[in-house]
Amino acid sequence: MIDMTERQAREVLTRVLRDASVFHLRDQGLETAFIDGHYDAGFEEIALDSLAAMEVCLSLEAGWDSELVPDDLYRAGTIGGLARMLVVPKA
Amino acid sequence: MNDYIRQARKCLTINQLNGLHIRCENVMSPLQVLEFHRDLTSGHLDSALVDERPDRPADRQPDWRSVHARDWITRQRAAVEFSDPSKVQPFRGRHLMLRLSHYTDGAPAAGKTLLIGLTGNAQRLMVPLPVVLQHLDAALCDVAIVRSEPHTGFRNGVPEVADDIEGLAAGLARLLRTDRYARVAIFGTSGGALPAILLAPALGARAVLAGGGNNPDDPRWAGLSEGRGAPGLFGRFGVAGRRDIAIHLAWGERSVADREAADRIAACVAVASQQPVPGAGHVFVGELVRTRRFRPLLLDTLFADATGRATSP
Repeated sequence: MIDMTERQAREVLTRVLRDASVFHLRDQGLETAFIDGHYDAGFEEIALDSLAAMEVCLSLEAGWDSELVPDDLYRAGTIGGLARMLVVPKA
Repeated sequence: MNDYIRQARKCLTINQLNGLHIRCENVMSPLQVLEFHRDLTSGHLDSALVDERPDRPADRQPDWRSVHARDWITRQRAAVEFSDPSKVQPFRGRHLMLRLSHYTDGAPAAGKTLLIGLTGNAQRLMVPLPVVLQHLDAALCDVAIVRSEPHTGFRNGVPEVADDIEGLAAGLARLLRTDRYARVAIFGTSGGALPAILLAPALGARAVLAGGGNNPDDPRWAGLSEGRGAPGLFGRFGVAGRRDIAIHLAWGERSVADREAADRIAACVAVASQQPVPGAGHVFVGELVRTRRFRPLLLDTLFADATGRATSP
C-alpha cells in the first residue's frame, strides 16, 4: 500500500469512483466536501453496485498497491471509512 | 474455456480474477454461461486453476481461483435464469473487431432487427451481456455490441472501425452489413447514449433507447457542436426535426445529472417517450432487471413497430 494521507486517499477515491461510473459525489456537487472530510455516505447511498465495487478495488490495486477486495469495502461501511482503510494497512 | 483457464492462471489476486470475470461478462452469451457453469462446477478443471506459488499469501488456499470461479459462474447462471427461466436464448457470438461483437442464432438476417448496443465506460449496457441477451428474442433480432474506449464517448470512433464518430456509422454499416436486416434499432447507455441518438440517422435506425446519457451541452462535445451547444450537435448529425426515428430516453430517477441531460435532449429533438426509473441511480438497467421491467421497456421502445406493440413518436 502506498503511503498517503487521509486527504490524499479521499482525492484518490473521488477519481476512482468517477472512473467506476459512480457519480453520486460528482452529481450532488459533494466531491470537495468529501475530500475536505465534511461529507460521508454509505455505499448504498452512492449507488456502488457489485460491479463498481470490483472496479474500485481493481483500480486501487493497480494504481496504489491496495490489497482491498470487495468484501473489505462493505466492511468499511462508508466511503470515508474506505479512505481511512487506504491510509491504515490491513491487520 | 481454454482461453479462460489460461487467463485465470495468470491472475495472482482476487481483484485480477474479478477483472477477468468482468471482461467475460462483457462478451459472453447466455449459452456460454451455461457451458462455463457446466465446466467450472464439474470439478475437472480445479487442478488447472490451482495456485501453486510458493509465495502465495498465507491466507489464500491453493484452490482459491476455482472457488471464486464457481461462485462467479453460479451467480451468472442465476442471473440468466432470473431473466427468463423458460428458455435460454440461442445467441452465438463472434468478435468482428477488438471492440465490436455480433450475436445471432444463425438464422438469416432478412426479417430480423439488428439491435446495436453502444456501451459506456463500463464496456457493457449497465448489466452483464448475457442478461441483456436473455431479455431479447434471438428469433427476432441479432445484436451487435460496440464497446467504446473509456472516457471518449465514441468521439474518437472505434479502433479498426472508424477514426471519428462521423465515420462510425458507415464503418458499422459495412462491417455489420446492416442492409441485410429489416430494421435497425440502437440501445446506448451512459457514454453510449448520446452517440446512439447522433448515429441513428446515418445507420437508418427506426428506434433508439438512450439511457443515462451525457448532456449534449457538455464541453466534451463542444468540438462537434461548433460552439452552438446541443442544437449545433443535433443539427450536425441530422437528428433535429426527425420524427421518423422513435427516440426514447431513460434514466435513473435518483441521478439529477442524467435527468437534466434527458431534459436538454428532449428540448432539442423529437422524443417518443421519457422513462424515469424510480429507485435507480445512474446504472438504472439493473433496477429494471430486478423489478422485471426491462423486457417490457425494450419491447415498447426498440421493437414497437416490429412487434405490433403500440407506441409512436
